[in-house]
Amino acid sequence: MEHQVDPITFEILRHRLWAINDEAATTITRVSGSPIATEANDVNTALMSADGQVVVTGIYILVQVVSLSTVIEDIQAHYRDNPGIRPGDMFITNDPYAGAPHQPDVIVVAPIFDGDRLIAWSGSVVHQSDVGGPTTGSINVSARSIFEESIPMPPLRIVEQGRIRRDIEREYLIRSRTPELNALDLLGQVAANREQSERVLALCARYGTDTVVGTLQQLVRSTEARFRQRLAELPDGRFRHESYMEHDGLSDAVYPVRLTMTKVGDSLTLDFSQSADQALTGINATLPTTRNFAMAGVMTLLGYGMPWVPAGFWPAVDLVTREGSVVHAKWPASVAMSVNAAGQEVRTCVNACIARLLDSSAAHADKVMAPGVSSAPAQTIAGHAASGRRFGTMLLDGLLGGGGARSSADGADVCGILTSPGAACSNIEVVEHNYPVLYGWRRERTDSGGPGRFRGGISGEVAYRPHHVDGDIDTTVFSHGVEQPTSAGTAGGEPAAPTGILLSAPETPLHAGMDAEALAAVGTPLPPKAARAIAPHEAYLSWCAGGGGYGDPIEREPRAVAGDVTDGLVSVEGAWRDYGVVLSGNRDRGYTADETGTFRLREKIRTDRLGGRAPMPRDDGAGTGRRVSSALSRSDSDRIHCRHCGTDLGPITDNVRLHLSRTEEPVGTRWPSAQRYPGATRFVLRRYHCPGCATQIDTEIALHGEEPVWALEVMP
Amino acid sequence: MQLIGVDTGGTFTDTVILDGRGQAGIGKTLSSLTDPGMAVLRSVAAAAAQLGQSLHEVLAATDIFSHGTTIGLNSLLTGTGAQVGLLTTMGFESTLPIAKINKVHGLDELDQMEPTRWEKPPLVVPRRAIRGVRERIDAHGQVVVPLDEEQARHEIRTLGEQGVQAVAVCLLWSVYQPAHEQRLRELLAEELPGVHVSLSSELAPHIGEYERTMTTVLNAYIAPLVTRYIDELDGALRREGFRGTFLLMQSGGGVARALQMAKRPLDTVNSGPVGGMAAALQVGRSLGHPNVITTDVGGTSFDVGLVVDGSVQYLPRPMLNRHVLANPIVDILSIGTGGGSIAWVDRELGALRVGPQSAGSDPGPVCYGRGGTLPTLTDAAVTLGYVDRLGGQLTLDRDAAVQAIRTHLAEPLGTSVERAAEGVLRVANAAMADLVRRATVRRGHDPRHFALYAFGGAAAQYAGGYAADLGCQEVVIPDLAATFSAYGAAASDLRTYAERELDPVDPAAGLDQIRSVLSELEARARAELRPGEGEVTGEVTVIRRAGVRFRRQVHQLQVELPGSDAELSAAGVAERFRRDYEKVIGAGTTHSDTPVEVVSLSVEGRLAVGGLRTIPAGGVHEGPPRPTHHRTAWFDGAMGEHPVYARADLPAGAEVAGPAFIELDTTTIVVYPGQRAVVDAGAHVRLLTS
Repeated sequence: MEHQVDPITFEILRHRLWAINDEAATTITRVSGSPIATEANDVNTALMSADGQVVVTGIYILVQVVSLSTVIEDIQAHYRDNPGIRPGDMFITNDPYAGAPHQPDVIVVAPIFDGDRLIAWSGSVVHQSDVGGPTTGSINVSARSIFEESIPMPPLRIVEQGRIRRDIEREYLIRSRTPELNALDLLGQVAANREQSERVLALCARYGTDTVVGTLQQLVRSTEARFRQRLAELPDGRFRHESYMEHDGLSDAVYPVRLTMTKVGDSLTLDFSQSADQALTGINATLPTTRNFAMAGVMTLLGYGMPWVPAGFWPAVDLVTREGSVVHAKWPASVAMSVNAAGQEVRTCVNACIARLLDSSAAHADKVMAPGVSSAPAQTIAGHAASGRRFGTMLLDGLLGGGGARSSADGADVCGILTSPGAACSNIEVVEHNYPVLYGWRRERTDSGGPGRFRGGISGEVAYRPHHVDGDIDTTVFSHGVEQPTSAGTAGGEPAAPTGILLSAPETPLHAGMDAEALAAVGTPLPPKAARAIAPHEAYLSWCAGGGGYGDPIEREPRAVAGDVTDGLVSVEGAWRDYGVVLSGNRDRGYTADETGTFRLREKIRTDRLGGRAPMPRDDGAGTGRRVSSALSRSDSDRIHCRHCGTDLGPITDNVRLHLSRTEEPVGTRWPSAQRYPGATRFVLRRYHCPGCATQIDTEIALHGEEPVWALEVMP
Repeated sequence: MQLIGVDTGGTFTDTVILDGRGQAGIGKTLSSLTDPGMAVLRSVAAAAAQLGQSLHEVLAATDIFSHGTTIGLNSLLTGTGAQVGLLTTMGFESTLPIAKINKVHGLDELDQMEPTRWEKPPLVVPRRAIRGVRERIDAHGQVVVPLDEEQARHEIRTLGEQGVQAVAVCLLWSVYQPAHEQRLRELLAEELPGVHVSLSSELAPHIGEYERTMTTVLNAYIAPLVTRYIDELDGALRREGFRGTFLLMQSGGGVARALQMAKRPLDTVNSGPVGGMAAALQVGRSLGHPNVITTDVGGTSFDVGLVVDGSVQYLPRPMLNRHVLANPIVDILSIGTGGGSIAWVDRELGALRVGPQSAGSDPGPVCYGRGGTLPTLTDAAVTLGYVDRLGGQLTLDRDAAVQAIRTHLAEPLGTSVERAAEGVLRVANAAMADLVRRATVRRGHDPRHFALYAFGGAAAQYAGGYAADLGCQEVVIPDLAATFSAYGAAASDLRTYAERELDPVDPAAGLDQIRSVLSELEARARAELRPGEGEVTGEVTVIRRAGVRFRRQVHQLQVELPGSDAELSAAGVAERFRRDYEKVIGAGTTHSDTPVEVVSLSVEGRLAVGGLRTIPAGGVHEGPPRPTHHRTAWFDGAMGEHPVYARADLPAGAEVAGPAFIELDTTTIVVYPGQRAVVDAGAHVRLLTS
């Protein structure tokens, strides 16, 4: 029976629970020895109901905690009698098959008892520098099974009645190359759980246990009601997106992640079952990890204006996967790279499909956001400093990606990934303070944002070399999206530039102010999964992907393009090529757009789109009928029309892309950095234009020779 | 000793003169955006007049002139600061635009959960005015690339051509090795003489280039304006006969010499609210309130602060306009709802809204009769009869206020003037109560465990409205409420703070280094507090602290150190750290064998100059309180005649039941129906809202 909580108490308790959870995260970062946890906020905390449903979460790294429920379910299923779940107990795990995103994410959860009544759970996840396995940093890019990675710990009862069990603590720490750091974080996580428990119990004492428990239930219930209401307001439809991961650590194979998203009434189905078979290596995601990324995407993109209570969203979402696929790995498949591999593309697919869903609704079209960075150039480094001190860490320069463009504004520049809203990149001084590296630059990267009427966020690039180091620095790089861009464009906007990872040519000095492309031209591009040494005379360079663009780029305000060029975010050539804008001026004084030149260039681009045929004039009142997207409508006779010129684009039973005029370009000619990889020849950039008015309506990255994905299926 | 405290707010400039005999002179005059210094003198003159003296007489007899000003903050919020250039290490020009990838911090809770509203903080320096200088220092303070002076001069000239008025300099690792920053200052002086220069190594010597750069840039942004203001005011005071010490309120609490503050004007940005907090802390101590919510209703803003267990709360990395700064400041939340907030009918939403536009002090609310035409919150209060006089020399034009409410609100809404005015108050009160909740409930504090203090020019009219449903233990309208920040400025200690970050030091091996850094910092702190010619003096209290952590930990804990070098020992530092650590993090969370290291040292110096003066309640009348007159005002849906009491007539213990009014020197307390007001011995009025 549920306890009714009055609105004022509910409001106070709701915020209080949020504050308790937030302060627990602060406790961990205060204690932590890891700059990853403290500077990057690569840590998250949650409060859960007695049955383990995640109710209150922090906004740092959403994918860490969304499926903590799986861990609690595992504990309750296996340990109820042996070893038991008692007041003062806590359980540690880093098992991706039990709910950890990947092995370096260490989870500590604790039941909260009021007397002998289990009323809630608390928990936290902290990314560790090293949790063992054959390679420093615990990412083995060529692991053929989980036995060649860090062997995960299933949930273990590490705290018994308030005391840390030294034997289990040692069993955990002995695996790690950084035991003293892991030990500090463990203490922090234990302290955070203790604090959450004490504060929740203080609330129970003041307001009554039933009231506190009732607040948790009411949060879930009201969130579900609001989310279902949101879904019901949106038009029904079916949407598809295909995202690629190239290179699995052993070979340069391609793994598509495929989503069919169906919205009917007040429920949503996410069907990933057509995704590639699982890889031999750790790019796979376990089911909990896929659940994490899918739900984090749904909450952020469809949950505006409502609390992010995962347990309230799940009842309306049906997640379909196929065991043995790259998004649902079967034990003992290796999975340690998942959070930067399959998990990321799960979210990209969710993002791309939700953007189409929102774009189909006039009332919600202002919430459309193109996919942003997903394929971060993640990197671990290890070695010995000149002082003899051993070091090992993950660097956070992979967080410098761009955000997706919105339907009324550019994407955020250098802003990190969508589902880690509170994440932060380190100060360079903090990195150099802790590790023997010297950065040459960390700066914004010209032309990295996806072109569009609203530009995708641009990304950042870094370069560093070893400094005061004893010997080489061992590094492991794991990424994808170097041969092809993963940040898709939306509503005719274009994909962002891909990721880059390379070593400079030996003995090339690294000067601030050098052009990264020039260095890259003579350097060695690294495969997207690589384990190798950086010699003291080499420099490491990387850059992130930008965010996808929104809308036809040649409709962007020329003044905005000129401003971007003045700011160094777009090059003069990029303005001409991507936006059809002709400029005059210089960087110190600023650029201005040449109106006549721009008008002529844009007319020429439109004609070129139609293979030399002059486009029809646009008439934005032409496309009547029901909205299908910002560019398309559906007539009463179930045909699709261009909303800009009225041109008939076939029956709703056809893939509309087949009725649009199409241009196709190898990704290697569009993005020179991709061209350095032979595998890039497999991918093409397709642009779809209205055959009448030449408006760019859609874009797609596809495998050469494959049929266009039926991205927008209108329901009969 | 005679003290003067002056606080410049958005609408009013307030003065409190505390003379040696326990008498107070109060001044409240309009602020001036164009000549804030003149407004200060006008306000002091008004307060002097209360004591029967001239401006010159008062200033000549004053030992300490203590001032809080919002001039820096205003220029930040309105974007009217200097055109700033930034010199930084080449390759790191994007540090500010990247902003550590922050796109959500500082947004309100709703926007944080809506990705289409995520935005980077606004850029204070356009990208083309951020110039990279070829140089590089490493994490050990060693020069890796020497400063390329030719190239630096070229960049400086480019900034000159762009017309910058101030230059911020922030180079990597200048905290350990400031030589390049110092050399750039010399080059700037040669190339761009007269342009203000802010160096990060002096203003914010903290590792972490983003926060340090931001602090330096904002300092440069407001420096020309604030420096000129301080110089001009100092000159004007001297011309009027002042020979004492000129102090300014600091964002980090306490006051400091004005001429020192001219170098770091960013430390003035929060000074008004901090003054109020300082006063609240003192009053809280005397009334036995360890937990206080401070609420300050001024002309242009509503500020909320907390005193928890007798201490002001600090933000170590405070956020100002979404910019994260490197130096701690007193934690205060603010919204732009104040007496000057303009009320309007939002036809699209079909709603009556208050703010965010403000009439400020110029022209100010319609009732000021200074050319304002749009109705404000103050005009609504005037219309309802809650306010029948204004501070200082202002005369109140009630008819104009009523007319404005009628034309702009009542007629479009199709309701009566009074109901429209009442609606304005209700909307404003709700916004103010929400901010109090945000400051308490959302930080895990229960307002029911707090006393709520209401001060600032307008709080007395609204506190009964916004405090009613917060459930605080009691609501206190302190004596001098209307000029509380000015009072706080006069009641604050002189405070100085010096800090140095270290390459981690093992306390046992590096005890000598620790001692020598501490004595250097202490010497600097004492020198800053050393009185100049003819300045007040007093006993200096010095607190020495160390930032300590377990080896390899990232965060540090501030540990208080013994006052003398002799008592300082490695074992003592470690033991004190473990004890404090377990207090913060929890029992059993330290391993006794994990080594600790010292990563920073700091010295805080305080010199008590002001201190609290209590003014007895006075009041002579025995028996039930007698109203001085009655006033026509709107309560419970009708206009009626309601009693007005003079606070000065009410003895300690006197009780007034609402609806009624109590007139203070420069403001009027509205006691709403169902509420009661009780005067206490310290002349504070306690409002019982239920």
